[in-house]
Amino acid sequence: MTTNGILQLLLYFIVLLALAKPLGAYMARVYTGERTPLARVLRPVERWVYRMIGVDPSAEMPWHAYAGAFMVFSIAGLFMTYAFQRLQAILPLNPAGLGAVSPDLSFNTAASFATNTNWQSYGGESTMSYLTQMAALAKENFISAAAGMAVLVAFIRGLARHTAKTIGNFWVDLTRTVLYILIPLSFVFALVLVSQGVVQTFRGYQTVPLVQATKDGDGKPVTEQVIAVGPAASQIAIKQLGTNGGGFFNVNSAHPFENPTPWSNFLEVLAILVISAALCYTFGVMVGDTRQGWAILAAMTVVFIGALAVAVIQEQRGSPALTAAGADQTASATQAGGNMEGKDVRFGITNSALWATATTAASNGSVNSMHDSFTPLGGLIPLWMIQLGEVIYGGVGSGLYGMLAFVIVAVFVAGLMVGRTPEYLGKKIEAYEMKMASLMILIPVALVLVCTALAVATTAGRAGAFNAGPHGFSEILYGFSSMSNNNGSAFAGLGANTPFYNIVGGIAMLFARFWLAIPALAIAGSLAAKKRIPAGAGTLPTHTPLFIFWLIGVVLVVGALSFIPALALGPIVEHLLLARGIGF
Amino acid sequence: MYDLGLIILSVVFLLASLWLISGFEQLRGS
Repeated sequence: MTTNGILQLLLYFIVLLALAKPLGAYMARVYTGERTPLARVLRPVERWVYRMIGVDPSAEMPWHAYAGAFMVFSIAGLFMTYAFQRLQAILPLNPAGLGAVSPDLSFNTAASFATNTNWQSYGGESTMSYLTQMAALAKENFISAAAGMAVLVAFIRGLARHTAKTIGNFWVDLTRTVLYILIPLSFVFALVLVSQGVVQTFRGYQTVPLVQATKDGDGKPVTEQVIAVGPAASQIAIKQLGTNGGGFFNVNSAHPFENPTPWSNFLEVLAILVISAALCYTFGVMVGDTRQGWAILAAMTVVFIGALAVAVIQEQRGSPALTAAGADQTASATQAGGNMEGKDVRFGITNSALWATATTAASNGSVNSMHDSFTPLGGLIPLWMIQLGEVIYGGVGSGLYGMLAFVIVAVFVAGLMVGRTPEYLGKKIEAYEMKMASLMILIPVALVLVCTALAVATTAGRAGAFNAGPHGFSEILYGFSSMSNNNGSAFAGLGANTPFYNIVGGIAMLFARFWLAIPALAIAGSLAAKKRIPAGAGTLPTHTPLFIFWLIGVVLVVGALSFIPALALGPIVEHLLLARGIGF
Repeated sequence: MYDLGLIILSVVFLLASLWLISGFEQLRGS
């Protein structure tokens, strides 16, 4: 690791953690209905929205009504996105004249964006019209992120309230998230991105003369090139802030029009984690004990730093295959060194590894380098971060309610081990909460392993992998880990635009999103109805360093037990074979 | 036809999810 790299990482963590408190406090004010500085402008808009959709903002919902509204709203969004893609050829704002998207790809993309996954089996500039990108995909970026945050807020209310029948109003939480948090942040961030050179235009693709003429495969001279442009900045801002991750262009944030400068790179990778980190503080404020939020943020940060260190060190050490080919991978005054295959020289090892770790710790999935070209152990890190359930910061909302499921398991297991009463924030943790938390942890694990097994056992599944042996297995495992945890990043070595991957992956994304949110809301309903027990001698403190490391242990043990056998067949065996000069 | 199949698949998923919500509520009450 170079000194320059360490300083950049330090700056990143200082800014990220410094923003957690002010942004978290602001979001707590939004969700508790307190007046915010934006209320003067946005309060009339908010009231107008409620009138338009016929919602009484003071009418609260029990958990099952909240969950029902969340489901119906999300699936309605899926249908809209599907329709936009199928009809884009006859709709306006299609200067490139792109045709209708195929049914299976439309389904996959609609499921992907409705679930905040943003897995993309397509290249944006060659598949989606401007209208589809903006009215379908960018719109879903906002509302799927807001829906995840709404579920989290309902979960927090379940912990904060006692002897209550309701956990809030889904429509109010959704509207406030979009109006007061996502739109203002995205608006400012999009302008900053434009200042750095990210494109934002309705003009069609530009045809320009080549600086140096060339020839095509048939030997004919090529003197012009078509450069894709479009309304990118507005989509990139929310795809980073909302942990969506779906790029406007095919190569995502490795594209110079999506991520042109070192500053845009720093801000985009910061935007991936900033809301999720700040929500920990929001949680602390809403439950009346900010130490609880800091404890969870500390647990997340410790795991993140450990994973990041492994990724940076592995990539900085370089690839044995490149060494054998005679490439110099040592850091010097003229180069940053390391395994630069699949990485942009503008970003180098540190910022590529940081992005890869952040995008998979969160449910973001955007990339600025190709994870398929990482060293086996460097590539294992993003893969395992996804498989941990994206609870290390995680997706906006979904990351923290996933982590709170681990907290419930940690409290319960600790109670069993030392004879303390399993309770969290004054609420008894009983069989019902444990069943729901277990479902939240086991459903994505089962989806990843069953779908991967299905893929490697079928010709249609194996046909997608571009490489043989353990690397090909890693490509398939990564693909289904990504879809089954609503991440959306790709290993970049999987041809996933086939009916098999589109349909199976689409179904996996739906289950991973909604069948985790439903038990999360069920826990919220159950906890809200309980009485609060005063802390006593038998209460396990959940804000101490002891509990933080206990929580980390539970997350890592569950992640290890679930996936080490599969990882052994992929990146681990590939690492051992590569050391003996055998590559794939 | 393909479109219809995928729409039906999504509707079935929605109905299964609503059934799951109802099942969890009954489990909580029992």
